[in-house]
Amino acid sequence: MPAITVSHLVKSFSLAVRQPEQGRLRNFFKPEKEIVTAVDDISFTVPEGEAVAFIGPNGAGKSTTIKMLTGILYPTSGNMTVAGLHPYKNRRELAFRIGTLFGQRSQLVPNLPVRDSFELFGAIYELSPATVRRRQKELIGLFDLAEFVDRPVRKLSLGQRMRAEIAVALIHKPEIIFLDEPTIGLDIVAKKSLREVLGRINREEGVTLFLTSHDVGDIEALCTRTMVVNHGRIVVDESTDALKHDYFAHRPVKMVAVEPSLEEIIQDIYGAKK
Amino acid sequence: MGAKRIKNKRSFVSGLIAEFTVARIIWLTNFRAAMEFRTAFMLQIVGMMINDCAFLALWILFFQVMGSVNGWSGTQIFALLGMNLMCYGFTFGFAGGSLWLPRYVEQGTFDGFLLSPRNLYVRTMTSRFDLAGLGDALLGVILIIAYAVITGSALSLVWFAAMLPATMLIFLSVSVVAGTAAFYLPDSNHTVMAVFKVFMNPTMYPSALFPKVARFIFVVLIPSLTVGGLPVEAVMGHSWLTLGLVWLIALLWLLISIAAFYGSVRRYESGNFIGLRG
Repeated sequence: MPAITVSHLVKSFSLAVRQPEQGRLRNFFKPEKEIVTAVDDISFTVPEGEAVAFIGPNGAGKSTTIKMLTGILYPTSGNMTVAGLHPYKNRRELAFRIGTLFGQRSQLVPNLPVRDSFELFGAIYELSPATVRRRQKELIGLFDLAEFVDRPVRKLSLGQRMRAEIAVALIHKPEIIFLDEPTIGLDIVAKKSLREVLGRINREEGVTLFLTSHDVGDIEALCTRTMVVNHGRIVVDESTDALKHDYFAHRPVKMVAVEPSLEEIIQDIYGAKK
Repeated sequence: MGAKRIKNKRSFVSGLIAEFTVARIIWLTNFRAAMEFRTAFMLQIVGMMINDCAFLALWILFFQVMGSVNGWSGTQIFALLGMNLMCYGFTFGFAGGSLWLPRYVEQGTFDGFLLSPRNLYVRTMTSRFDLAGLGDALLGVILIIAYAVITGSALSLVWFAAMLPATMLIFLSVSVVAGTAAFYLPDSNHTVMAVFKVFMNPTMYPSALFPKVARFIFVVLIPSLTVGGLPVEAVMGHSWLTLGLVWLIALLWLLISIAAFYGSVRRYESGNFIGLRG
């Protein structure tokens, strides 16, 4: 069974548009309405265990698509299933089976230590206290949280918080993880470590990843397939390797640098400081 | 693979118990978070109690000057204010999320509740608690006990206890219905609070002050009197009819609020609020 199927999915929003020539009163009482189609008749299938990038410019419809797939938004038309469930009709059942990370939002309890968020989310997902303890231990190891797991979330750095965010989002062992800009605002080292862990979860546990990001490094490191979306439509859907070869104006040339790259130098410095 | 804990085969009652078990854990977590700032916590509680006492003193002075009004005197004000404060304090002390609904919708943080595997209504309402509400509730309990002592009627405590859950349901339901305006109106925080105050302000006045038409309006259309005046009348007259009426209105408003909430959620448009200053 595919992890995700989407068929002719459409999402439109109605916006009040101010008409300067109409006058303020008319604009106030009888505003003109404009229909904006954020997602325009998209269809695709994602097999179980695949890591897919869903990329495009700002306003292309990436986040709207993820929000429909996770049951946040109700589609205007079209069909979709995630883990065999309809995201909006079976919202609660689906929530037990997916994990989400929205880079610009936090779901941790800001004034309490990270450990308390593990316990809270364990209770929300109805895990037994023993299971919560076991998963907490696994995730603390996997995401290297031991150093700050007992510190209040508000005192964490952005990188530490993002690692904690994703660790907490995985407490219930989701089958599919939706990531919307997971590395936004992170430094090179934090990005690398987050990508490594996500890659490992995808390879070793067969978890399906559905990722949106503006960072090409995320896509190259994690995703075998890339869909490019623009103006609400999928304009490219192929393997990440093929995309690089087909759409770059110049062929990539592999080089082995004698001198270390700037990224490696920075990583060395950070590593030394650590 | 995956936590396939699909709970759709539960009975209604066991489902409800599961929701309230989780709600209790969320509440305790929120309470622990509030305890991180103990001084602010205590100040809010004490501040709210002082504010309520000033209001009580005002009414007692009023009745000292005016004498009794249609059978109401300072003693009934103890009961009215006590009932109101308990109702407000316990409702928003445990389920303050309805007052935050406009902010959740405006800032897009309502996403988090839609991603949660919990009952959306219960999860949203129990997501916050009003610290000052606990101060209200505490003073409310003291005033109701004071009323029972003054009137020498321990039975009145049982009557108040029988009515409290119904009045809390009304308070919660009306705040939810007002809060759903957030799904229809942009920047609705002030509008929602203004609408809610239309309901809340008359709850603090003796029902004897309302003429017949106003009484009808504030019982049937805007159920303000059902959380203050009517419960006190029921206790004064040991009226089973009034008790039944308050419960009937409570259940009706609960159904209305659930229908309004789920009907409105479909209009939710989410968003990526960054916090621009206008």
